[in-house]
Amino acid sequence: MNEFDQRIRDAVRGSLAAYEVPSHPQFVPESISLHHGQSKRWVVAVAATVCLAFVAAASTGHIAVAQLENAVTQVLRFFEIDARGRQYPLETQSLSLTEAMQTQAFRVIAPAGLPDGTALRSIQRLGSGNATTLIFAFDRGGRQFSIVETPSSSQTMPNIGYSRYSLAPSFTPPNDRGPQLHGQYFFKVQAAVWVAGSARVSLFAARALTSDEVIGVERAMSHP
Amino acid sequence: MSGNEEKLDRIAAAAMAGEAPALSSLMARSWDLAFRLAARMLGDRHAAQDVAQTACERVLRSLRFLRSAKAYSTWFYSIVTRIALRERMTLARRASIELCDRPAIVDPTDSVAINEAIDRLKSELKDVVVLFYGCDLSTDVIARSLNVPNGTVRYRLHEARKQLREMLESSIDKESVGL
Repeated sequence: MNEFDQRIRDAVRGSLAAYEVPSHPQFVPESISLHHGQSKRWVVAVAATVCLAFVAAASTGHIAVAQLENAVTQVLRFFEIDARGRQYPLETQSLSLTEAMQTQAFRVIAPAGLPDGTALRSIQRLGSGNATTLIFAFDRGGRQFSIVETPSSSQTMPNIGYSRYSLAPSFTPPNDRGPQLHGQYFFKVQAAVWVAGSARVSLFAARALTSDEVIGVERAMSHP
Repeated sequence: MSGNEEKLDRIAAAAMAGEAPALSSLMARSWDLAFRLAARMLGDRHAAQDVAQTACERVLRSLRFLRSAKAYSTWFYSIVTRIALRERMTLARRASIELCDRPAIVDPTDSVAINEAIDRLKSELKDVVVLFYGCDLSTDVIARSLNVPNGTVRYRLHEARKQLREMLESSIDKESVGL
């Protein structure tokens, strides 16, 4: 490598090293089984469906959901995925709200960064199928806030979605890391849980949306 | 291959052997590398974070398909590059950022000036420079990552060097005549 190339190399490497890297998502491996060729089957747990008692809300054209805490049940759908990426349903497991809050899989719908002591009070579902929007109502110290998850069009991760983190006026956010627009905080959430036998890896992350993304989400939500 | 990449490959080997802490470490390091590379290619922190997240997710899903841990860093950079290129197309459609709007070169001997000159290259040339010099990838690997022939990568590298020389020498000339 001549002197000119070396200068370019040093400059590029220096520029890469200069970036301030944001915190990485929380990777929570429990036990891993990734030996090459050991298994062609991979099981994915997708916590995306919520079984609830429905109440039709004719005025909006959406389906609203009764917010009966005792009726809330989280359903985990397990799939086998073959080498070509096709999914085969294995089984469905229903969990109570308490169980759902304790399972690793539930993390897929809880954005990172929620303050300690936050309790899930209710879950609402709007729409159906791939267009399902989930609203999770939380309580912390008597103050209410909610998270709205709207599925994206991503085919690779069915549980990627945009979350709107809306806060009651008197609520103080745990950390100011995003644009505050009309009293609401917006986060983009990516999350997934991989389960293979006893092995499980969960990944979730949240970041503030850009202004453009916020506008896009607001448009999508006002014109479902 | 640099020491960093060799270390990354060693961690990948441990992760593929089933060591949970190694997988956590691999993901953390991969996140770091992915963000830096994507940020350099795209010039947008939010977009870089999206690219890093998607790349890490893809690594978790596909690590078991990797034949040899020695190829991890190369394989990983290829993933990041492809995702970053797609992200760039999305950004360009939105026109939400100005990809090449950088100030003029002031000090051609400074690495800041070199980086500014690199940013003034066409994106296809800039990508090759960043991957070749910044990530130590071979032209063959870059060709596979960008999905173009090896000869195209070599041409772009040659063209990038030529344009960088011209830009830097031009700045020297301007400075010497007091411009």
